[in-house]
Amino acid sequence: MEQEPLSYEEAITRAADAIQRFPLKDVQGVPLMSTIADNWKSISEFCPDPSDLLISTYPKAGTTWTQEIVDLLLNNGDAQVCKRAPTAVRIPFLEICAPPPIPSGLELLKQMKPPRVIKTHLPIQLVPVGFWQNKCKVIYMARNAKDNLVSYFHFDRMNLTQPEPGPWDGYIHKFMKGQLGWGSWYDHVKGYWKESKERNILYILYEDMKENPSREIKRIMHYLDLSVSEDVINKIVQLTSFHVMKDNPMANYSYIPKAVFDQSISAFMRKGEVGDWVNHFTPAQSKMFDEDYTNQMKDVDIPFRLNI
Amino acid sequence: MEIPDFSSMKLDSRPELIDFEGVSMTRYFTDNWEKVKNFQARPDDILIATYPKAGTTWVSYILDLLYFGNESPERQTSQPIYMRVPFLEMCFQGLPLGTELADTLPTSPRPIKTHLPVQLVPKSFWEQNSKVVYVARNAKDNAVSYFHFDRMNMGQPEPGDWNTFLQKFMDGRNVFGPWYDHVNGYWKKKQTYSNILYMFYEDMVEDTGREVARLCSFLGLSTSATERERITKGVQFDVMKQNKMTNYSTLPVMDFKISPFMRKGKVGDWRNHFTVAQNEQFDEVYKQKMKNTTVKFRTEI
Repeated sequence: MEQEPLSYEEAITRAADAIQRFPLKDVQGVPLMSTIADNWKSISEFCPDPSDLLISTYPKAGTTWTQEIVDLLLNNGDAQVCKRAPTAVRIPFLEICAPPPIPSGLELLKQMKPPRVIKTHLPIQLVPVGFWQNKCKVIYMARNAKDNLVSYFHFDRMNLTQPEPGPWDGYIHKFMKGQLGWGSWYDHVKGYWKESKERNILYILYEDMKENPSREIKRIMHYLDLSVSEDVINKIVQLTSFHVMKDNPMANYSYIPKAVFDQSISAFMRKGEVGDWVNHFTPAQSKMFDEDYTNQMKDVDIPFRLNI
Repeated sequence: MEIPDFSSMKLDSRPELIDFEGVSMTRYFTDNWEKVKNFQARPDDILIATYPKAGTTWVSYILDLLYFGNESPERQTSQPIYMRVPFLEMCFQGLPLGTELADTLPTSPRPIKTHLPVQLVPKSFWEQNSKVVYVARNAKDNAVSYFHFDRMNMGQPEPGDWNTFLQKFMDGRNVFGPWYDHVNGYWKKKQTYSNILYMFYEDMVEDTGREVARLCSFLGLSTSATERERITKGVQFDVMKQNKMTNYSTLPVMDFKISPFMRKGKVGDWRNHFTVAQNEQFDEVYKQKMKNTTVKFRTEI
């Protein structure tokens, strides 16, 4: 008689002893968690169905927000359906590999039938070629560098599987040099931007979503060839507002045990603001960062905003 | 002469702020108040007045070298600066009172240091028309320096974290009161009392030689250019920082593992401490507090 499959929460709890701050390893020039790098062949060979949808972001750029919006759109705004499982189970994280018995992203995907929604943080050059060959739709959410950096810093403080962030000042330098997990923010946002037309990628800005969620949700709706009523749009705006999501146990990752996500250090959903960087950067750090940014971003004109 | 032994200096817990004639103080600067208030200044006394951490030691050392560098060179290696330039209002158990040290200074003139705001300076200094050298430092760098000083000096109230300290600084809840009132008090006094030289820390950093020359002129000293140049070299920050006679490392009340007494001495270091948001908020408060004054500060050079 087969053992009943473990719930996602139970699986994580059982794996707690094997959790550590995993080092980063280089995969084609991009630093990735060692658990991902060690399983790279399987990940890179993943072959999606043409009906699958990929949601891609640099870490801490509004991933969960986008996932929840998409799931609600696909389910006509039905909040209960969208609480059928934690975000990570409803929308598997493609490349994530964790100690057994936590199911890897690939294992979760194997159990699901297309059409599937899949999350990734992979830069565009590492996305499995099957997504392009099969012309899957891709939604990319990007966030201004300074707020993204602040958010990633606090995430690394509380996510005990990420490398130790160290002090804030040193972390800024690691970000600028592309030494954080999933590599350079600059390369990441530019990679998708440059390919967005050719590969039919919907490129969304966190700041635009924050400023006018209704308009941006409609952009996603049209991109996905969906049609939902104005009432449903308004409902989705409300259901995916920061404060509602923060209290949603299926979206706020509160089910992750403290041994993995120590949310007493920092909440997974911390502030969700545009402009919080002013509370973290000193003027000296801001100036130094702006100089690096100007150099790194001179070949693109992505309209990020540092405040709205 | 031996270096004084202050190992018997004893402190209870960190002192609390008290309101003293409208100014935030601690008991270490008020317990001897009768003697401070009635201190008898002499016409040739030189009062070195600053808000804390605005370059006091620097100017004290310059004056000491100008007057006694040649005359009594042995002082430079045997007496810490806080013995050569007494801290008037100081009253720590196990240490001589500031007033006692001043009264027993064998020199003429007597350089005396104070952090008292202008309205609390003993009347006798004004009555005797003593010279006053006031050094002011821009508020942001002063706040940063004061924060680190409070962290390492057990004789000061607990600063809290940087954000907490900055709020107190903006509100004027620090020992010796608000920075705004302090710098403005002496600025106004200068309008009616001609024997004040008002100096800026930033000017001193930018061109120490020029400011030493200004100081000589104010003091009526005819120090040669060669001598002024020698002194200017000797009072460079890094030299003083290494000098046991000027870096306060002989005082047990200070925990130098937390922060050195002389930390950076720079103009503009605030940019490494304030967040962008704190800077904006500070600028708003500053504009309000300083709207009725003509004194201008530079936050960078």
